[in-house]
Amino acid sequence: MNQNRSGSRPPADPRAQSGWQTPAPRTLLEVRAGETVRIRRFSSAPPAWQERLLAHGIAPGCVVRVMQHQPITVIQVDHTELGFEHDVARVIEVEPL
Amino acid sequence: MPAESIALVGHPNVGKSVLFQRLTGRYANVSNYPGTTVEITRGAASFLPGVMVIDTPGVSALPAASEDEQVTARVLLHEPLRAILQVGDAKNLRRTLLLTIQLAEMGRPMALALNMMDEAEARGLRIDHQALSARMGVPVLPTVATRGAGIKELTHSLIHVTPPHFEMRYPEPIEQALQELCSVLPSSPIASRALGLLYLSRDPVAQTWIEQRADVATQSRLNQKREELQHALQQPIGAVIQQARLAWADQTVNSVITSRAKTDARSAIGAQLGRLAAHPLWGLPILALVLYGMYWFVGVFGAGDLVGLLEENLFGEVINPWVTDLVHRTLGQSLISEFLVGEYGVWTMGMTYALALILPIVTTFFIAFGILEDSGYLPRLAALTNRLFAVIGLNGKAVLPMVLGLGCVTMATMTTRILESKRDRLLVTLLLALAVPCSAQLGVVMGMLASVSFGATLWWAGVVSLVLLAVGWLAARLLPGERSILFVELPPLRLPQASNVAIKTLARLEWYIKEVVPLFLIGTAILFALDKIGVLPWLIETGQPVVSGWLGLPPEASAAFLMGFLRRDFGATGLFALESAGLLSPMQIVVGMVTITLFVPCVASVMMIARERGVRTALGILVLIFPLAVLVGGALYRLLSLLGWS
Ligand SMILES: Nc1nc2c(ncn2[C@@H]2O[C@H](COP(=O)(O)OP(=O)(O)OP(=O)(O)O)[C@@H](O)[C@H]2O)c(=O)[nH]1
Repeated sequence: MNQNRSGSRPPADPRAQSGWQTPAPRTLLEVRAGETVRIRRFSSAPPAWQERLLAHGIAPGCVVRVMQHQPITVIQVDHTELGFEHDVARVIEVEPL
Repeated sequence: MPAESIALVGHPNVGKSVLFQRLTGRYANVSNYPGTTVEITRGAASFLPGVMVIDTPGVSALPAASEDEQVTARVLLHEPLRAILQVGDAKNLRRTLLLTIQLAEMGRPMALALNMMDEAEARGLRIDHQALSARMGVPVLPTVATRGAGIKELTHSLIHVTPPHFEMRYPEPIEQALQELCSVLPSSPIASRALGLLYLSRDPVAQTWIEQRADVATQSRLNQKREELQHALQQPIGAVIQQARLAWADQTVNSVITSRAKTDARSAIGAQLGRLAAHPLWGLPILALVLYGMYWFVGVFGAGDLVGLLEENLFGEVINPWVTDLVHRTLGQSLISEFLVGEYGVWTMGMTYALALILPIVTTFFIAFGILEDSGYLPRLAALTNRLFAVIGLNGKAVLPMVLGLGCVTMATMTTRILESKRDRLLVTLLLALAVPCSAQLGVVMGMLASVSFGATLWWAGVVSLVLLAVGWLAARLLPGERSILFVELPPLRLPQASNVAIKTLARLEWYIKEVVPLFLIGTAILFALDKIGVLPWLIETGQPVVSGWLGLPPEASAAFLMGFLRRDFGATGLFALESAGLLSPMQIVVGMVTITLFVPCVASVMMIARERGVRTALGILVLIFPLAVLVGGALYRLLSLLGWS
């Protein structure tokens, strides 16, 4: 089971800078609840998941807000809230706004 | 084929059912879609004589993922449709348009009802629906279904509806493949471009439709085209297609939304409560409250007060003596009168059970479930319980049939259709049959255990849960296929609409009376026949060594177990009679209750399993459950004896 929540993980991202700045989150799973990010891509996800995400209007470039990570990850897109398991959140790459 | 119809299509929870009620008269007919167990509601359009309105199951998108969604795809492909009415959620325009594009491509006359306009406005959204209509080539009508706003304009536009003028282009490789596909695809009620797109995105319904109509050579050519295209693209074809649509939808949304939300919708009480209900910590007390409320309404009020009133007072003292008397006076003491009002009488046992005992319980249960359904709580429950169900190879969605099972296992078996894979449906069906006691049984079991001690109740609950988890864990590993992941939309919590709950409850009750009551009657008739030809006494006698030797129960309990097959609670009631006669020790009560809970689902649910999953599966489940229940019961007897129970 996954234990790391909100970006408490050591920065694995090469873009992450040292110092006082918080490291740029890499996957949706590492985004703190309450933050808003842009979806970069999720092309490494299984086709079925990709289609589910797209069907709910989640595509690269779109802006989502992370609501919570427990017991499942919940994000808000437009005015819909969508929940899915951590495995899905882990394969969605995001970038800061 | 029946009259032309108008199909309501849309995402789950956008107000299709409420709109359906607005568009049709009072009477709606709920039935299973041919060849499936998915409910479809049809009703005569009140504004267009001779035209039917069909309410389809909600779809998040095509290709269809669950059995439910496939029915919607089949309605679109197979029904003689006069028009498609898409019902969309105005506050989620992007997602709505994603489906609009897909439907408009089908080329059938269509209109879009932008429902929940009130919620969109409350969030500060202004939508230029005329511009939207121009861009999509379909009439767009803003509505608030719950208040009946915009319905007149909607019906007017439905009367004059025409095929849409819509065309969007996909990335070049897809367009090329489509062109080639269109020249070989058999002609269909939807535009071949739309059929081609469905085929390319591997929609199972379109696939089957084509397989039934195209020759083998065409099929292999189609398949080859698709594989070539897949090879040329970096991503799954379906994903590329959806992304193109999303881009189009995004552009559209940007040009028709004239004002964006300023206020944060989260400040609303409903949203706050919704957040708490899915919270890992606060969610639990809320869940406990919900369960307690259900227990009180269904268990105490339904199974206690109402059943007492109906079974003991009305049927026991008034109706049954009267019917029995009438039958005896007209038919005398014949075999027929025994068949009707005897010990295993179709009326005195079957009908009384179905109407006086089960009906009030399922009615209260359906009301409670309808309220939960309408309020938007259920998806949060799925989120909350997901971890637990992961242990037994399922996801949180399985909680719905499982909770429903506490009301009526037969009904719950039918609801497994909301699950996405065959594997999940089979697994839940098995667990329901094995370890989920229905409300009728639960009532008796709890009553008896309470008379022993709280510890006895804990033992019972512990053993049954353990068996549920162990069997689920094992079965999940033995069954082929993978666990499907949880993906749910969490709609805002809303105050349930009394009319919506009432209509859903009535439709379910109608289903219960039409589908389940006959099963009870048939079951009673079978029991009657078995009794007459002497099989019943023989079975009871054969079971005795197991019952008294292995389970350590008095030999009379054998009959109770047999009865448990017809009526789950009857088995428990049979044991209850023994207890009252002072024939059972505390240990025997615990062993008896555990065994009878695991032992058999009622005859109606076995028939439902056979109908849903096939006769072989039903038999397989029975063959698994019988010995398992006895095995567990015997083991528990020995364990408790060792621990000094008597
Ligand atoms: N505020 C508001 N609520 C609505 C409106 N229309 C429907 N609802 C509510 O939305 C919820 C869902 O409505 P349903 O009609 O059950 O939705 P459905 O599309 O049939 O849902 P499924 O059958 O699950 O696909 C209910 O609580 C309705 O009362 C509307 O225009 N405004």
